Amino acid sequence: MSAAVISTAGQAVAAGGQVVATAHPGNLVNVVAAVDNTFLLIFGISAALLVLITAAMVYFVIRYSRKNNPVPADFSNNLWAEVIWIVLPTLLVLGMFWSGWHSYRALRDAPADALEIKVLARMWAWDFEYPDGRHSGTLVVPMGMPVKLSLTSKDVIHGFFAPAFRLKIDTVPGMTSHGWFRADKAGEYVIFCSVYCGVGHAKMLSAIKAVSQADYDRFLAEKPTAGGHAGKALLDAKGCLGCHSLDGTESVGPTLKGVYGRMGVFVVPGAKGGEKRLKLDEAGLKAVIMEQRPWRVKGFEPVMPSYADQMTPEELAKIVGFLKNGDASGQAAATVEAAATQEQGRALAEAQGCLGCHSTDGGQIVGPSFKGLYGRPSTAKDKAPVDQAFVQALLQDPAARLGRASTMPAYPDLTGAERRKLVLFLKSLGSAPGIKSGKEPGMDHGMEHGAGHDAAAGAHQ
Amino acid sequence: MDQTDQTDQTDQTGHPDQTPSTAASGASQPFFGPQNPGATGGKGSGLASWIFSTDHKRIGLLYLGLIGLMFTVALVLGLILRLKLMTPGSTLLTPQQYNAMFTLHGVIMVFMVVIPSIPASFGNIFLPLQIGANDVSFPRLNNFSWWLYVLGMTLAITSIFTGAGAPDTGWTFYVPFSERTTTNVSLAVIAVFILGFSSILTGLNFITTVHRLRTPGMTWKKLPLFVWSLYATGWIQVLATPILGITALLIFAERVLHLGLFDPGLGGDPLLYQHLFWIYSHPAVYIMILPAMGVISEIIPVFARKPIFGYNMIAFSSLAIAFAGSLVWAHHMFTSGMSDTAVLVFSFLTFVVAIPSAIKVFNWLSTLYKGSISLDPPLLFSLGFIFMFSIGGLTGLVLGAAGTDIHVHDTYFVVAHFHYVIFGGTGLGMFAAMHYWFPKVFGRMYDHGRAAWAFWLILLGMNVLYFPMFIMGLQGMPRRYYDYLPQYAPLQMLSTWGSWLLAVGLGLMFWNLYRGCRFGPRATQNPWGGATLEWTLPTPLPHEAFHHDPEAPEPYDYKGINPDG
Repeated sequence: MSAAVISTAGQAVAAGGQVVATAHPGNLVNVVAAVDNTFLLIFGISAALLVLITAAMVYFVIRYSRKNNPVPADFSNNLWAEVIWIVLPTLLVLGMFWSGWHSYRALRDAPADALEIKVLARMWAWDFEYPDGRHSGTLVVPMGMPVKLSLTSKDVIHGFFAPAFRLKIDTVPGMTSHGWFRADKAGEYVIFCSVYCGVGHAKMLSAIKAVSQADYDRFLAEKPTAGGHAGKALLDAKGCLGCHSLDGTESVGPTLKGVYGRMGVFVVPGAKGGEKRLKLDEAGLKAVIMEQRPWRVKGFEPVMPSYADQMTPEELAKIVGFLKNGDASGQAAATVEAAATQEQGRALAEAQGCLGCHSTDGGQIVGPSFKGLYGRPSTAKDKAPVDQAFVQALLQDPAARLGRASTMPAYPDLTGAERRKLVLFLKSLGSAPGIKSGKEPGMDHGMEHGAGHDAAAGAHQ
Repeated sequence: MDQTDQTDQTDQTGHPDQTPSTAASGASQPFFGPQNPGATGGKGSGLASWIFSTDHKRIGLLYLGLIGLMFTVALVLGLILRLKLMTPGSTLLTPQQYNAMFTLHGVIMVFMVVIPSIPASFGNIFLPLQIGANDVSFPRLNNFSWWLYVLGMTLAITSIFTGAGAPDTGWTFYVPFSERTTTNVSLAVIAVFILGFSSILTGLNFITTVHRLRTPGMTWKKLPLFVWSLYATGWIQVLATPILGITALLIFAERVLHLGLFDPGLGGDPLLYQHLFWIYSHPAVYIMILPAMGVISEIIPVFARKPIFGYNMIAFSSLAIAFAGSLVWAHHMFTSGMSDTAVLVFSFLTFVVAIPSAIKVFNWLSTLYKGSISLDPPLLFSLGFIFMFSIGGLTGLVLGAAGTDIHVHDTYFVVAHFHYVIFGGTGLGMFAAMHYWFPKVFGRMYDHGRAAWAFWLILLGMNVLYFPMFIMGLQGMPRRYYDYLPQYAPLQMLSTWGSWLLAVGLGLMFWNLYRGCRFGPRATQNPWGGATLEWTLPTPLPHEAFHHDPEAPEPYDYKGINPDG
């Protein structure tokens, strides 16, 4: 039995497909090795104890059987024995606790230079958003680079589980959780959803693709929806295709192939005959997608969520347009979104209250002025320059990005498009590429100092 | 409808024959027979005399019958689930059917089988007898508890067939999913609420009984360890179960009134629900395991003919487990996104709970040391308990350590761990209790050889069924998956074979007990040579146990007591 337990642990390590103990420059912790060491420690002690207990049991039953030992001894305690087996288990479990805590810290403490990627889970698909606002359904990362994930969920609780990296963290709606990993070897690593989330739970799989830095850059340069219909991309992004196929096969839900204009048959509790017919034209599809419904499509389970709070009317229109016309049209609609302007950014900054703390004219209010801020080293602990990735991360979680407490609130509800608009606006206020490193601008300094920087930046321009 | 059928059945098996017991005190009538045998069909033999009975022994048997029925239902569900999972891509069930089935398997097993299992059945029958009392403190409340159980059970079964489909949330009812799903969750949580009250009232009854009804001279240090474990369990039931009740009601309120406690869209917090749920449901694990530990502490010294080793420590560790076990709930939430500080604290406390459990195992082993051991079926099941519980407990250390828990949380590893502790632990403890007290309750003896065969089949089946799950879990197989990647196929198949072995073993065991009940040789008063008070009573148990307060015995002193069977 003990051999089985140990070999189990060994298999698990091997099966994880992770390079254990890669020599790495610097003092980066190898998380997988740390976790696996805890596994081996606990399994080793456990196996020894189990063998001991089982062997003692079997030996006593044979050695002290009624035949071999007709007269039982008469004792019912022994102080030393009892002291030993209070103290010994206590020491063992304290050691295990400490080892477990140590490896947990390794799992939690993301390196400061980690690439930040946002994860949005929904029934039953994953969406990954990169610092430049690009989205994808599989997580593409450059190998060797630590990746920090900020995760949340659109609907119910899901769990991001990448066994190869011993990483698991729940995605909770209304809350952002974090995790990090580093893929040292190129390859594909499976992502499971670990928290039960309904009928598509077992299909909520994705992959981490670890690629070279060059391939990663190439990936980022790709146009996300190039050649595709915006409505089709939305069907994918909203997770519709997790249950509804486009090729005519029935899955969790009915196929979407040729669905437009069809007569849908729905089971409605309480209706006459228990059924209702609905023509799936624009109005019909809108009702099906957006309404909270007690009824279901005949022959299928009532599991489809309402998308009322997850889809804008424009998005719905694109999807219906795709279902109606296929790939042929709809390109025009896609271009509307791209026309984000700095003016929209200014309006957004006003609406979100950014301008209450950040001036646009170089004056200091609460935070640093936006004027000439873009491209300058920030006030974050690591003095990262204010660029698109920085703004993204700052809006998501200011304290985490700055590496210190901050009065700035988080804006996790801003969409990627809105963030891009804000960045455009920020850029329009001038940037300062020529700032020498070592100087510390920003709100931790006096008014004059900050204003001086701004003046310098302005002059440079 | 179910309860009627089942009580009929209990009633029948309760009448192995109508002739009086052959025990020395021929005047006493078995408690399951009519009170006045002269008047046929008179007082004490009809259905009403059972379902409205305030006799703790009859109530115990009523529970035993229903628990057996519910166990069978949930077992069949489990076997179907395993059959579905035998091959990847199997379409034996639809995803929705699969989700409903694992939910029902969990809800029924946890709330209707394992939580009431030993306390409600054997606890009801033997707790009063072991302390020299003729009944529990509140006999009518005891009957009411049973009716609440019947009501909760009926509602839970109803929830499968009514509304928009059987609940599909898993037995944990995690929000926001349980708020959004259109299936019949509302009725199911009401059922859980009512079942909770059944448990609370039983716990309250036991605590009061232990405090008030001990026979003169039975000091706390002379209390049998089974009573100690039920006493500790009673406190958990009384203190923790109300939280489950209110949590279940809050889910109902969320679904019906959209109260906004747990739904982030309405300003609620999903993690709040998890805290509330586990504040009950983790201590509930100790409600499940403590009584089984009590049974093992009774059986081992009897069959080793040697006093229990470290009585004080075993009794104290029951209380320590009950207390410390109430402080570890959030170890179910290491991946939930709660703070790292909370992870540190709850990981540490979890390891603290491991210590009293380890102490118990060492004490049982020391009781065997230099004993004079007779390997009868109750002891076989008890040793099986120690083995399975050790595996379950030791793998629990992996789950208590923060770093390793992250990897195996919500995987098959947890499923395996839980089944080793609860099925291998509580389940085998329950079977040990059945084999130990069977002759005392039914007045007949089962076949020992067949019982041993059944035991080995069950032990082998359990390990073939659940051990592969440890490996799959370490390899990342998430739980509650309708389908799986091909890499897990061989172990999934092996696990399903194990489920068949287990089913055969269980079938053999129940058949053997049924045969024993109907046709077995008559049992003697004290076939194992136990020193606790129930063994001084006639076999089968009479209507009224003690005509005057018995003298409190030394519960583990076997000098002068010999097995008479």
